[in-house]
Amino acid sequence: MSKSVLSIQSHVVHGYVGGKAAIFPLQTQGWEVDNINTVNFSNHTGYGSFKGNSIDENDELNPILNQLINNLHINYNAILTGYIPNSNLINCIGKYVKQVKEQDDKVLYLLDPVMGDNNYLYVSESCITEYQNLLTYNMIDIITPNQFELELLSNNKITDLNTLKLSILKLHLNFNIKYIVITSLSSSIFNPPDNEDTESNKQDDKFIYCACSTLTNLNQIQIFKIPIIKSYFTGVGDLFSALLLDKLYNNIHSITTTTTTTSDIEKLTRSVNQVLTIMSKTLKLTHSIGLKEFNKHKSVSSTTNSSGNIIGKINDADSMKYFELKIIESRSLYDYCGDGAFKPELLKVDY
Amino acid sequence: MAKNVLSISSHVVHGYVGNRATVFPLQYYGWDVDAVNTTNFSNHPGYGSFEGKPSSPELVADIFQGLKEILNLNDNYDMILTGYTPGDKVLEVIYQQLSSIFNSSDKSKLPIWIVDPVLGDNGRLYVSENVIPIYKKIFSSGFVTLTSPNQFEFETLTGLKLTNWDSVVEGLTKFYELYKVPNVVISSAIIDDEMYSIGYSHSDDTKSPSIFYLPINQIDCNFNGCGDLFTALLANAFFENDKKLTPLTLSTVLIKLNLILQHSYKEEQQVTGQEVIKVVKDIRIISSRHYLLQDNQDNELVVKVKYL
Repeated sequence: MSKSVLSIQSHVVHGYVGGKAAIFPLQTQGWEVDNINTVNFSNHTGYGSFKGNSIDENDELNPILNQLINNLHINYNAILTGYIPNSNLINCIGKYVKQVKEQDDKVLYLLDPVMGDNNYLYVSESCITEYQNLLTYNMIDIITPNQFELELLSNNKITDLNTLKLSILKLHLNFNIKYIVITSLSSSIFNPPDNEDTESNKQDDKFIYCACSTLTNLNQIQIFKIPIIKSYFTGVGDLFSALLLDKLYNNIHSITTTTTTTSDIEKLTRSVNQVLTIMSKTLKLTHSIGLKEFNKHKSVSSTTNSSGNIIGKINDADSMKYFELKIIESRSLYDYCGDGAFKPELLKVDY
Repeated sequence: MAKNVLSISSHVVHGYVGNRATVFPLQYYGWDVDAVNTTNFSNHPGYGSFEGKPSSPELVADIFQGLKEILNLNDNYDMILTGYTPGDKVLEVIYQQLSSIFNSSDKSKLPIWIVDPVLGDNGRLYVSENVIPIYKKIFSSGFVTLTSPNQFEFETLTGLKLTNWDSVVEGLTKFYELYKVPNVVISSAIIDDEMYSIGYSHSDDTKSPSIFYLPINQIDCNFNGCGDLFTALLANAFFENDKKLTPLTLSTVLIKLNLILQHSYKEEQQVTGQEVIKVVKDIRIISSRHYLLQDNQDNELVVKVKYL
């Protein structure tokens, strides 16, 4: 049984972000991936320099989408949207996704609202309102913002568990979003800075948190605590969303599960756990191959951190190229469909 | 150890031609594929209509410029693959950019250049005829290690018709005299009403070339993207065989290609409900991916090899 997805995100010639991080893993899992490249760049911006251009709305994006959907009438099982560089393109894509969803609500739409990270916006400001507008179409099945993107979408700064829950509920209830996964959350949300146990705070710098929630089980937000690998990796979120689409699709349609997971939150939690397990192995592999290659090519470098470990560093082409995600080498990891290596915990919030 | 290939060909959103037919198989073989797209089309023209536009020469030059700023192109790639390029201006840019790699003083780790001179098929050009002289210039440059024209393309480049085995030898000899490309595979040619794939290897100038052919298990159906997939499979097999073209190398490629086409044909029958299929617009590369890794070193096709 073949699965097909329309993936709309960036293309880089060299390196693994956007479509380059998402398409191959999906294809290895049997997905027919049609990909629209929102940009056509030589490499991702983390190198400090890049060349290329964005897709043109009138000559390319609009007629291409019209051709696929209204002339060729291609029936997709899913739509995945990631990095879109400006608000006009978001608007154009939103209209077509709306049309597809109105024709067939079973098409699974995953929106990764790529806007920025760690309080840094890397798209134009107008994208925020355009994504907020897109939410009002009430057509999103799965959304995968990071903490900063969740804050932008919900107009709500997340400082503690209450504000986290409030933002998640807002997306569920105001926009009818079925599955929400917050891909990275700061540890300070879970260990407030005024906490006197400073040792535990220090420990917590080594972890990142991930939350997932479903519309049908609003009081069962699940939290994952994941060890961080200290390096600058790009494309992680893009790979995450692609894998999540595959795992959740399989768990919803009971393709790879032997156990009977009943509720939506169980299915989502299981999927996220599978994705995090694969991601963790992929990042470890990326780090170890990256170190090996780096050491082979360079003897001295400016990219050594305080503990003497070489890390990928932003805006430094020399180190960056060794820490591109090892998407190809990780091929055998993507079909993992076990129970997952992590232990989710129920988010407890007192109102 | 990672292998790096620069693949320059077309992009279509839907379907499997150009880079969409080459990138995934190469990735599945473990290659890191840097894909430069010469077009941004919704689908291939075999559908009767398509949208989008070809990449401008400026964009392609820009992309190369961007790559040069972050990579040492002279030693980054093991292999460069060039395929469908609809316009002469873009092909000229590609030629200039790649020439500067091959002309570099550091010859320690130069890539091999594999050229699929995509011009057309069955007597019909589907690119601008202005690209023909540029392909001739590319072949004359001495930078090309392997090329994989089909019969029409080979005839166009040599000006000779392939009608019997004598004309095949004559054509390949002329091609070598003109361009000195050491390895040539005519992906498919009809000789005496049968279809063959023909190999020519002339890696040692002091010795006479090896010319051989293998029968193709012909399916009476047109598969869009078949030539692009063939070149990707051939490129990988050639590279893995120590960059040597042998009947065994070619046989493994033909077997895999045939398995994938058979599979695509059957899927097309199921989807359309028709018994006889004349055109398969989308080769089923994804659902036949297990064939890619199949070991075909021990096969029955290679014993059918005939030398000329």
